[in-house]
Amino acid sequence: MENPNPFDLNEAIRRWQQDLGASPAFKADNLEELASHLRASVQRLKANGLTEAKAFQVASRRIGERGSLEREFAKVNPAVNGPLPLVLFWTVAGLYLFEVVSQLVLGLSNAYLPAPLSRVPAMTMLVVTVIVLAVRWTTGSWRGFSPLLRIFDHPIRATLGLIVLGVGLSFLPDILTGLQGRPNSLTIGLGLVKFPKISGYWLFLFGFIKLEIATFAGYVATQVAVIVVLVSSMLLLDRRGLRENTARRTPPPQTAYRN
Amino acid sequence: MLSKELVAASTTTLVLSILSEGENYGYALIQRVNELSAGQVHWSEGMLYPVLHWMEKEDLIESEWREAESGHRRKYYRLRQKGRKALNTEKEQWMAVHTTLKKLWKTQTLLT
Repeated sequence: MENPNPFDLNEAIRRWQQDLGASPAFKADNLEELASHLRASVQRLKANGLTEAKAFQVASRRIGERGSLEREFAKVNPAVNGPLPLVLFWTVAGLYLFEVVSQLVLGLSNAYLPAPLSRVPAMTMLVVTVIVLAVRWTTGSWRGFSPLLRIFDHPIRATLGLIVLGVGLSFLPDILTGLQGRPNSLTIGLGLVKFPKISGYWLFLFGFIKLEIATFAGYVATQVAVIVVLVSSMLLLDRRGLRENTARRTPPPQTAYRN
Repeated sequence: MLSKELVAASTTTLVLSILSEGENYGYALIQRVNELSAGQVHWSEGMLYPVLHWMEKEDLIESEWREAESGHRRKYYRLRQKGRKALNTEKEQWMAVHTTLKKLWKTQTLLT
């Protein structure tokens, strides 16, 4: 009797790759090389008399557990050497988080601290951030940091968290400072993420729009720009996941596996 | 079977030595080690690749994707000049350990 669900090796390998690919520890090239290893291993096991399904099972066990593979690959693929979308993602996500937190700190310290002291918390935060980034850069891992930071290992979770944090908190400092927010050195220095907001200020300075509108429109534009960049870099990162979703709707192609 | 520590210490030397026979790909490297050591040197299969990538970063070896007979792509590794030099140094060091132990164990067998 014929099996109604014949084992599809290409499909099994693709799913196996996809599972590993969710981790930033693996580059596309690594996944292809591991898949090539699996194929060779399956071939050999089949020659020894195993069925294809069984051979795949044994081969994927022999190649190693996901966790230990991830650890070893992460050692040679630190995120800073990752592919461009990954680096872009983390640059924007980092700037975004910093922007949100610094606005909150600035707003709170302006509201509760006397003038000469109000800059201290923001400056301390800047220094601490630089130190943390320097340690992260040199060690290439989050080891030694709070396990809580591991949520940032997953781009989708991190993005959702940042969006919620950003949308929720970015208006708070303005409420606290009573909508007087004039540009200062810290906010101007933030570059990319701040660009739409700074353009808003320029429009105000040249007398095109009112300050309140400039501030509000600037915030909205910043939120939109950041979300667009984050989501598009995430989609770039997750191209494989996107393909899988399309494949589910249409029957999987029976062509030979490539790349 | 070799201890974890010895496996870790000898992997680079073994890879360099096998590649000095000619270029090869990951799965075949593992097969070759298995066959030569009669299963005594056991590599966790997936773990070999990060080692190979590290060796490539260190310019000891280089790699190239090529089409295999099966039609699928395979990544082949081969030695570079720096790798050849490293292999010579490694050889001297391992031979030093080998001859020392051999002499020691020879006298011990004579004594017992």
